[in-house]
Amino acid sequence: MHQTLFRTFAGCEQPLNDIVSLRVNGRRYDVELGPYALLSDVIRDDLGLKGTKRGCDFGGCGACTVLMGGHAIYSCMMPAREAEGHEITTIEGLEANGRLTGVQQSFIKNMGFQCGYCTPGIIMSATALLRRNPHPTDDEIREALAGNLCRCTGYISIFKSIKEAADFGPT
Amino acid sequence: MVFKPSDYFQPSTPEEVCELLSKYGKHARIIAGGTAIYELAKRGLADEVKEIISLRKVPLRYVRRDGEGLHVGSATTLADLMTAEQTRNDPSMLLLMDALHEIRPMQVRAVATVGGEICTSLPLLDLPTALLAVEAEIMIQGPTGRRTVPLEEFLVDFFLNTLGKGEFVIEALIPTQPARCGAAFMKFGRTAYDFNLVNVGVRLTFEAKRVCTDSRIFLGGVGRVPFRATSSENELRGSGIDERSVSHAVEALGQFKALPQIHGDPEYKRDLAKVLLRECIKRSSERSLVVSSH
Repeated sequence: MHQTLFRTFAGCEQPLNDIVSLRVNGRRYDVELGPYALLSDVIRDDLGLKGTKRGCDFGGCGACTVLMGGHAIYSCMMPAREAEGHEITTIEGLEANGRLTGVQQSFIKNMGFQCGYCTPGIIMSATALLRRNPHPTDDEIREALAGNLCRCTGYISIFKSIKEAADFGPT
Repeated sequence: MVFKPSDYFQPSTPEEVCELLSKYGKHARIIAGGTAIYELAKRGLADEVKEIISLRKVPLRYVRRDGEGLHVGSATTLADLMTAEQTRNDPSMLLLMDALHEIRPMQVRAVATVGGEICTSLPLLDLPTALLAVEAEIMIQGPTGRRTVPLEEFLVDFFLNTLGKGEFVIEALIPTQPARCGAAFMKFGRTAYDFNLVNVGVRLTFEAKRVCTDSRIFLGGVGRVPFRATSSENELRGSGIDERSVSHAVEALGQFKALPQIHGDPEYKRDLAKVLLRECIKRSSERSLVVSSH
């Protein structure tokens, strides 16, 4: 029934040929995929979770960052089949019962964003950092942000948001 | 852009990987983290790739230590290696941690693998230079069995190594390091997360009276493969590490040939290499004191 669907990579069509089971934000999705479907495309186009952004689509800007098995990864570089068996978390999966996480609230309070396009990716990177290392040093925060570009804020307010979230405790 | 793989395999044993490689030959590519094939495909450099072989289900994700040294499975991610206790507690592996910290961003470290860093065979990568300094060996699985080669004999040119048909890398071995040695790695890249312009890996071994008995110095990012700076090494062997000997070693780099890159011409890279080498020698020497007290 999905025969007319194609997953694209750089404009090239690939035939769909396998059902792949993905766990995203605690839900299981069975998706029909071609040999080289990318996780960012599946998240946005198949699952309709548009919070994950496509930026450079080249593994350089971090807008597509999601959590896979607790690690921040670039979903635009990740073949979707490699994500099978891992727990994937997107920005939509952070809130619990309508309540934003401490990191999200800290970004709002400290104006850790302007246009907001890079924000979901940055929040995922910050979340991955703080879950593994609840009390990071300033350098560790900077290192964790190395893979996320923001062209609006100048990073100071982003850095401040993460630092304050760390001070407030569990994400 | 015509990247259009027609099949995707997830074998579960090394033998199955070899079978697939033998069957599909040059059209098959192994992926582990998948970052290299992605970059190449995006640049239109993977057009001949038809079959993708994923190592996801092959049990090659491990770090373990025995009498020989530290064994790292080729599908071990860089993040895994960074957090492995075996690595953290080994003072002589400080160089490895230097290199892992320099490989950014963490989104790539979480998926890119040790095997990928080695087998992609590109001078832009950092781990090979570090591994060369500590005399790493790699274990290769082929259709007829396994063989081990020094990493120095493995890298040949851009995208070219000595893997034969049906072969792939299953493990990197970092041998137990000599007593009283210290090692350091440094890199210079254009931004916080860019590839290198130059990287340097150094290991110095000393005898009891602080005379340097052995030195290994590798420079990456400047040539088609990391090269060994033998004349700099010779300046250090048989002498103590002081301002004079370090300066001699740095000057011995001379006007080495460096590939131009858009962000760094050869002269700039030569200058960078000298700065990094000087610092790496000093750090290696300092670290050898800490290591020998353990």
